[in-house]
Order: sequence, then structure tokens, then C-alpha cells
Amino acid sequence: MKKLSSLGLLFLLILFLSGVSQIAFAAENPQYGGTLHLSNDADWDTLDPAYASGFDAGEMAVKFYDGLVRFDFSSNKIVADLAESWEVKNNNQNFIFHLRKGVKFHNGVEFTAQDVKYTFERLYDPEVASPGTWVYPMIKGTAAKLAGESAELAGVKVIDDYTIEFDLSEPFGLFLTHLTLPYGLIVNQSAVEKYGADFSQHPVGTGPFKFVEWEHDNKLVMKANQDYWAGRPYVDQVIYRVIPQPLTDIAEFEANNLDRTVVPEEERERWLNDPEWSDYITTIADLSTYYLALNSDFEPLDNPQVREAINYAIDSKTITDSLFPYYVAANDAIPEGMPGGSDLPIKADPEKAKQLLTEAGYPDGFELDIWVSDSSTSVRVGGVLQALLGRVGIQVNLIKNDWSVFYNTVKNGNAPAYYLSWWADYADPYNFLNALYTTDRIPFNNQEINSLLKEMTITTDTDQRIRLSQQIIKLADQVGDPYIYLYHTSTSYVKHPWVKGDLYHQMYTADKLLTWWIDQDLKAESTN
Amino acid sequence: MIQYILRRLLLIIPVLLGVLFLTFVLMYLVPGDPVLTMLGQHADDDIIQRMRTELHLDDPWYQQFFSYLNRTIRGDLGRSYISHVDVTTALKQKIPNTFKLALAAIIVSTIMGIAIGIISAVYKNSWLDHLAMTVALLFISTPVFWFGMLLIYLFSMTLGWTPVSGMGEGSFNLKHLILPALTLGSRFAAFLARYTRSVMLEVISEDYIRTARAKGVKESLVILKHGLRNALIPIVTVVGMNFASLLNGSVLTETIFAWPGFGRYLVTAIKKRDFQVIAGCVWIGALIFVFVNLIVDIIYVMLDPRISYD
Repeated sequence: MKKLSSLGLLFLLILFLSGVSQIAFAAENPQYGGTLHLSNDADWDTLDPAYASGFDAGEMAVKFYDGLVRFDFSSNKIVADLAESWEVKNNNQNFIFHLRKGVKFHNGVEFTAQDVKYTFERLYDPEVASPGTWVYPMIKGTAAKLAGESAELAGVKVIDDYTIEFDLSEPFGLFLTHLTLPYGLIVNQSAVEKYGADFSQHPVGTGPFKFVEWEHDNKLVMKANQDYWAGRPYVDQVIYRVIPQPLTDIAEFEANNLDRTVVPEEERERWLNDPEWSDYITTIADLSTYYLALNSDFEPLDNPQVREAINYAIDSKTITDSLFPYYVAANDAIPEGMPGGSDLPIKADPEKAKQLLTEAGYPDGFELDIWVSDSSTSVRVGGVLQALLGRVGIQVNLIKNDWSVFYNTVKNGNAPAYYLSWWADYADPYNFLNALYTTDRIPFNNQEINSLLKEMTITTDTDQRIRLSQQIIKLADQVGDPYIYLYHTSTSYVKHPWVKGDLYHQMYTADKLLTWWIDQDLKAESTN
Repeated sequence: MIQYILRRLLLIIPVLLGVLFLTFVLMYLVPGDPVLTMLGQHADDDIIQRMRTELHLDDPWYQQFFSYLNRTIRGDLGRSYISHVDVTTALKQKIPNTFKLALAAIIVSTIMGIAIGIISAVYKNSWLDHLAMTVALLFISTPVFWFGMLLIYLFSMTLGWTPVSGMGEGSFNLKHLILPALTLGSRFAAFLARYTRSVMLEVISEDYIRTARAKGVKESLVILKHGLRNALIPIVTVVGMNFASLLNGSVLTETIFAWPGFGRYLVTAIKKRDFQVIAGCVWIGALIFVFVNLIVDIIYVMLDPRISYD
């Protein structure tokens, strides 16, 4: 097991060093045509960008819609999409976008700056009740629009049909990054008004694929947009099937009914070591952090020494070694490979934990309720936490509930300790640190950290951002971090040899399926 | 008879009202919040409150109940809080899928169960009886999930006879139906075999069977005409109830075989606290149950002329 774990780590390290994404570029010339068969483990909640709060919905929405900017296919760099170029003025407070001309929505209507204005006004329309209003509160006039006090969004100004200006209430260095989120995908007013409440069932964007059919819980079909402004996708059609059971999904792959899929966690060892498939497997480090949160509203977790003792008692390496040999043990909030992580060691010293507990006045330990959701992973991790904390005298009661009850309790601050994760909205340490240290789920309010976070929203200087991130991590550690970081996940994908140009990006909104193509001769040869 | 049917149809109204009322009360009591599911970890109090107001979730439960009732009477089951899909439209897609699967499973299990039960009863205490009952016990104890995966491995992966999962193209695809129907029907077939055996053993020890045999009636006629016909009433009840329960969806089988049915739809909605979908599903599920019950009662009369509802 240890050997496998090391191999997994080495594999991931190579991935990190080689960049954030991979495209399987082959020497051959891409071929047009064919159908790409993919799958998802759940139905998509929506295809309307204004409601795309989940990863699945966002990942699918970018196939039908474009934003002003997007992630580069092979890095986390932000590149032009519907905006051809932009100017940043007034220390990241004004952004002027020059839009592409001649781009058409799938309904034939030409894309103009009015569509951009409409998209953002719709997002802040109180009747739309979008869950995405947290993304652009820095745009002037969002509060008034959301309160129904203003019909227009003051901070979004159409200069002419192909120029639009965003006026922010304060400098915000991450504004372009925020525009890559699904809520920033541009919709067309006439299409929204035509379909009304059913707009989610009839996505009309400017994206590389046009909507064909969506049978909920079964399949979603799209066809190549022949007139796509960046050139049509190579494949003619993409069929996504909804296959909730991972073992069924991998069986469909083996039966050649899927072109690429995710290797189920429990099957990973077998697939990675299978010489027939190992060349066709790509593992990518997810931008995720799994942690145990400690709520200082509950005694004795209000004592920083007790929190530190818990940190020393939990060896995250034991968790990855015993449960997830392909994951990386965490030492802080920042996933491996993302700039901004610290050099803090993994604290794994039960004796030191006992000593700290004695100093804090708990030589015999205490009882601790840890809330977990009812997923099998949560319950397994909960079991290991119970054992690790039991070694230092902390008796853990695992409180297991379905997600809705679990999250309701956590959200309302009623769980003394809970096991949860954070997955990146975008690849920047601010997204992790802000979400964790300014949440209302735990009463952690450190002024110094808050001001460092504020600085992170302003500066675009990479080195300074990294320094600020490391400062925040170290500061949190010094004051008794309310989070015990456990691990960062990774995902292995397997594809058939005939699939080419396949893209593996850490950001869920990056892949528009524009690079994928099918070697149809090879497919015919392999499947006959 | 017609009067009886009309009376039963009228009784459906209070039953459905009661079911809906209980569903609302339960949903009100069960902790959890669809808004939090929808918003994820970005939910701040302002957004949560705005969405709760927009969805009328802050209204008192009785107000929500009467507003739902008012809409439902007009044929509007509302829209999913999460996907905004019209519940009636979604149910129109899911119910035929579940009906196909339930019908195939009930046909397979009824034929297998009754046939094995009769053979076991006729050859009581023989090796055939012991074998049949042992196999039946095995199937009753086999977890559906494991059995489904085993069938996929054997028939789809190894032999390549059947598709792995899904419904296939077109409105009816027999090949895609075989494995899910076998998975769903196997447990009930096993239960029915044991039940039929016990009912048949009781019936064939009756005097009229002995009389028929004494009169020299062929053994096959004795068993099928005199024995089975009289044993059918309790069997029809069990089959009817099981069919109604299958029509309300079978989450595990639908999940293993990626079958887009009623069961998965309802369970996903419960997990997300999608009240509109839950209420719509419970309402339709109750309606199905009541109707199947009525049909079973009508079949009684056809099977046994002594039964009369007049």
C-alpha cells in the first residue's frame, strides 16, 4: 500500500509540475465528424447560467454559452472569449471590453453589448432569484438592482454595440477571474423571453455546441455549431448519458459505449496497474481541500490550545495511507500545485497533543460531536478521525445525517465539529482562504487575516498574492487554526485509444470540447 | 358492480387529500432546506432569505398546503425548486419508463414464481421441491445491487448478450429491459414461489380436489383448473400489491441500470428537499396504488363468481 501511495504521489507530482491541464495532442491531423459518448453521474440541475451553482451545471453550460473571457485550455491563464480585448483602468476598478463582431447566438440573433448588459441585469433581477449574486457584488448598482430600487445596473455601461464598460465600487483584482464563472456566460434576451420558465430546457448561447435534446436522468444530446466564431468543434455530436452508478459506468466504457470516463475510486488500483489501459489513463489533481472544522462557539473548542492539540492528534497521512492512497495528505488549505501553499509540516504527534490537552486542563480528554454527511466517504473518514482522536483521549461521537440535515446544522453553526470540503470556483488561493476564514459557519473573525484577504482582492501581482496567501495560512496556524486540513483529491480518467485531443483541466468551466476528435478508422478497427 | 366502482372512485378523493396532507406535515417537520441544497456553500443569509421568499417557503405550512391544493386541482403540480422543470412534464417522462420496467418485472416474476410454486407443491418433499425452495431462499436473501451487477458482468460483459444499462433508442427496447426486469423481479419471483407452494398445498388437500381425483379427472386438470384457480385469489392480491409497489419506482434497480424512472426521481427530490417534486410524486404514487387496488378487487369477481360487491 505504501508503495502504491508513493507511486500515486509521484504521478501527481509530475502532473503538477507539467502544468494545470493536459491536452492529449497527437501528431496526427484532427479529423472532423463522429459522435463523442460521455457520461455524468447525475442529471444536471439546470442549463441556465443564472442558476448554474453546481459544478455539473457549470461544466455543461460552457458547451452552449461563451463568456467575455475564459480559461486557456492548457493553463489557468485567462484568455479572450467573446471579448476580443480589454482595458483595465483606475487600479482594477474599471474594465472596458471590446467585443467580437459577427458572433451569432444559436437562434441567429447577433451578439452585441446589449446582451452583456442584459445578462448581468438578469442576474441581479430580484424576480430571477439567482444563486450567483455573490459573484459580482463589486459591480456598482448591484445592491440597488437586487433590492428592486433600480431597473438598470449602474455599473454596466454600453458604450456602443461592441464596447462595454464595467464600473466597480472598489478595486477588485480578481474581476476577470470571476468572469470565468458560469454566471458570467452571456445569454440572449429574446431567447430568455421566448422560453420563459423553460429557458433552462432550451439553452441558446453563442457556444460551440447547439442543444438537441435533454431527457432528464437519461441523456443530453448536443450537435456541433457549424458557425462557431472560433471554428466548429471536430466532433459532429456529443451524447452525454446519466449513469449514477460508477461500476455501471465503467462497464459501459469497457463495452465501448463511452469514449472516456472517470475510473471509480474503488477500481483505481486495478485500472492504473492494467498494462492494457495504463497508457490511456490521465490523473489530474483536483482543486479541493477536505477538512475538519472546529467551532469555537462550543467548549472546549474555544481554547486555541485544544484546537492545536486536535491538529497534532490527527495525522492526515494516516488518512490518505489507509483510505485514499492516490490522494495527497494536506498540510494547509491550498491544494498541491496551486501557488500560495505554505511549508507548514503535517502535525502528527499524539504525545504533543496529550501534552497540549493537559496544559489546557483536559488531561483525560473530552467528548466531541463530529458531524458528517451520510456518504460512504464521510463515514469512513469519520471512523479514522474517531480512532486518531481516541488515541489522545478525545471520545468522538459521529453524528451522521443526510446532506440536507447535515448542511443545515453546519450552516446554522449548530455543529461543534464537522467534516466538509471546499472545491475551487477558480484557481486562486483567495477562493479557498476567503471561503474558509470569512464563513459564518464558524465564529472565526481575525482582523489581521481579514485585512490580508482584502489586500488579496486588490493586487494582481502574482508574487504578492502568494506572499499574502502564505501569511494568512501561517497566521491562522499561530492563533489555533479552526480547520484541520486532511487531504486533497485527484481524479483518474480513462479513454479509448481512438479519442484524441482530450482535455484535462483543473477548472470545471475550461473544457468546451473544442479540442476533442475521434480517429474514426481506429475506432472502426478496434470495435469490429 | 358499477355502483361499487363509482363508490371506490369517490373514495379516492379523501384518500388523496389525506396523503397530501400527511406529506405536507411530514415535509414541514423533517429538517433540511431546499434553498441550501440549491445555493451550496456560497449561500449567504441575504440570498437564502430572498430565495425562501421567492419560493414561498416562509409561508405557514397550511398556507403552502392550500395554495398547492388549489394549483393541483387545476392540474398544475408546480415546478421543481432545483431544476425549475415542470413536475407534470417530468412525471410524463418517468411514469412510462417505470411502467415498462414494472410490467416486465411483474410478468417475469409471476410466471416464474407461480410455475415454480406449483411444481414444488405437486412434488412436495422431493429433491425438486428442495432445490426450488433453496434457490428461492437464495434469491430472497440476495441483495438487489449485487445481483444486478452480477447479471451485468455475466450477460453484458462476459457473454455480450445484453446491453449494460440504459433504455436504448426508441420507445420500446426489449434487449435493454431484460436485465433490469430480472433484477427487479427475482426477489418477488422467489417470494411468490414460496407463497404459491404454501397456498397450493393447502388447496390440494381440500375435499373437492380429492373428489376430482376420485372421479378420474386428469392430474394436470386437477392441479391447474381446480387447484390453481382456487389458489389464485390470495396470489392475485400479493401480485397486485407488488405491482403497485413496483410502479412507485425501484431506486436500486433504476440506479444500477441507469433507468430514468419514477423511483430515482423521487429519491433525488427527497435528498434535495425538492418539495414540489416530492408532493407530485407522492400524489401520483398514491393514485397508482389506489387504482391497482381497485383493479385487484375487480379481478377477484372474475376469478370467483361467489364474490359480489352488489
